[in-house]
Amino acid sequence: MLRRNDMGFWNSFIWFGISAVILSLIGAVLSVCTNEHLAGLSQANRRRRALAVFFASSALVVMATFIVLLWIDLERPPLRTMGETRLWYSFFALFAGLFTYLRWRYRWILSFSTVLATVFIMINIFRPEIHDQTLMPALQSPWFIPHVTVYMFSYSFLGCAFLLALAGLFSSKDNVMSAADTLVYIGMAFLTFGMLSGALWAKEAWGHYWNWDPKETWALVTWLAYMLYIHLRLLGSGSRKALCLLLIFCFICLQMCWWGVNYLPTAQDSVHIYNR
Amino acid sequence: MPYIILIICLAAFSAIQLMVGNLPVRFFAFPLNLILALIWAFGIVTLWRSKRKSAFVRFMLSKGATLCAVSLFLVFCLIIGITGVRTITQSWPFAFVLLYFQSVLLFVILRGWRTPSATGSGEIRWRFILNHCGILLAVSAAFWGAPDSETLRIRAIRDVPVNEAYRMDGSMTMLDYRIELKDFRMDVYENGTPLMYEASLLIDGVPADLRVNKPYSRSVGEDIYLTGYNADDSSACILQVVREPWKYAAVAGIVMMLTGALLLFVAGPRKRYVEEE
Repeated sequence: MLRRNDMGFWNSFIWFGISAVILSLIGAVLSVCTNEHLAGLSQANRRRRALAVFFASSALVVMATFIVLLWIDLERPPLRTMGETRLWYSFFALFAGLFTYLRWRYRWILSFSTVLATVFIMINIFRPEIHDQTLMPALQSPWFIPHVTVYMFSYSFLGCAFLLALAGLFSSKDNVMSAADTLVYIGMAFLTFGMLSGALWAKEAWGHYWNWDPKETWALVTWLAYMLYIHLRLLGSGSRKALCLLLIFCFICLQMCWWGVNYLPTAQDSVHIYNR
Repeated sequence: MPYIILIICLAAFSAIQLMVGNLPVRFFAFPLNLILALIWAFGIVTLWRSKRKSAFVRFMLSKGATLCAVSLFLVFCLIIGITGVRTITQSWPFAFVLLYFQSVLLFVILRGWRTPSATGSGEIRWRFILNHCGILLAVSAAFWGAPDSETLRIRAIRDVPVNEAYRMDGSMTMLDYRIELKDFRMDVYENGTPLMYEASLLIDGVPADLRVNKPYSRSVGEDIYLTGYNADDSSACILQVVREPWKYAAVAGIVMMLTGALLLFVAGPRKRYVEEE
């Protein structure tokens, strides 16, 4: 077992993490201060918006730099342990927030994504996982990188949809649901890539596309829950409140699939737990 | 009323489950599964073509039927996820839910594969077709193909051709070919965890190198995997023979779903959503 001071480049994460949080926070504050109704008119608002995008992008670049340097330092993709997946999640959460901001100019979204990314960055600073360089044979596959990164990408978009759903429970003015729909569609597309690349990989590694392993089952639960949301929206069923509650339920399932499943007694025979 | 019938069906299949136990999956092995699948598909297409106004078809095409199908599948997966009891997938009520899910899907595909138009030749809805047919193919391959799937374990021994294999229930069977281990190599990290292991085999005289993530495809639907080893003894290793003749339908479904998901990402929600707001 490695001690913290044996963790090489991981030790410098505190500096990268805090820089990313500060930059993202400045971007979030600037975007909140922008009055979108006047965005087309006021020069000051346009400048604030541009600065918000600049700071949010800088936070993204800082996280990306750390991931690349850690990858080089570990001599393998940093995608294996929970701590490493949290790293990607923080990165993609910032990306999803910036994407949503650029696409819909929803001025609170950068604050949401900053909170989301900060939580995961802080967990990684205060409770770093044991980082070693070993990669078990099943993980040595070309499927490894796309499978995990598309999942983290999807989780971050669905995380933003979850935050919008929380906002939607208490506010009724902004067009929260249509923004949530687009985020769910993007998230669902990547969730499907993640689940099916996992199935194809499982066939190659273990012989079956689907084996009802706890992780696989929760992945399917999450996928079906979002599919239910999409169909409720398509068919025009469900009140706004019920739909927001469903999105919150979907995100709880997603958290179960990501890390909650490790704490279920049933997961002890799972083939998907790599960091115990 | 249809919901009451649905609940009665679920209750009936639960009662069957309590009386006779799990579904006798092997009983439905080829060709029975294929015959039943064809009768099922033909039945639904016939109902769609000639009984479109019937209460049954109208229900299967209703909002409620779709939402029930997704919700019931979700509820069963939640039960499996929470309890960890994988054998639920071989139970009568779960089989009923999957059959109902596939039936609703097929009805919905028949109705919705092109946009409705007065002339009857509307626009083809590619994203809808890819997503729905993809799911139907993948689920059907798993459902109807389950009786033909078989997993066997075999202990390959250095320089000794063997053909005794063991099913998952522990019973023995004979392969119609012999496997002989010629060499087994293993690399480990400094801390002793395995980095890579590889077996060189002769499978009916044909040389094959197997690693984790690198199975050997012996014939249509039959693959051989290297699954285990004994760290102290390189004179034997454990192989797994997987027979899954329906896997090609599953792959076709998966590829369709992947393409459909790409279109989901590119095109986003239907415009109607935004207009509703």
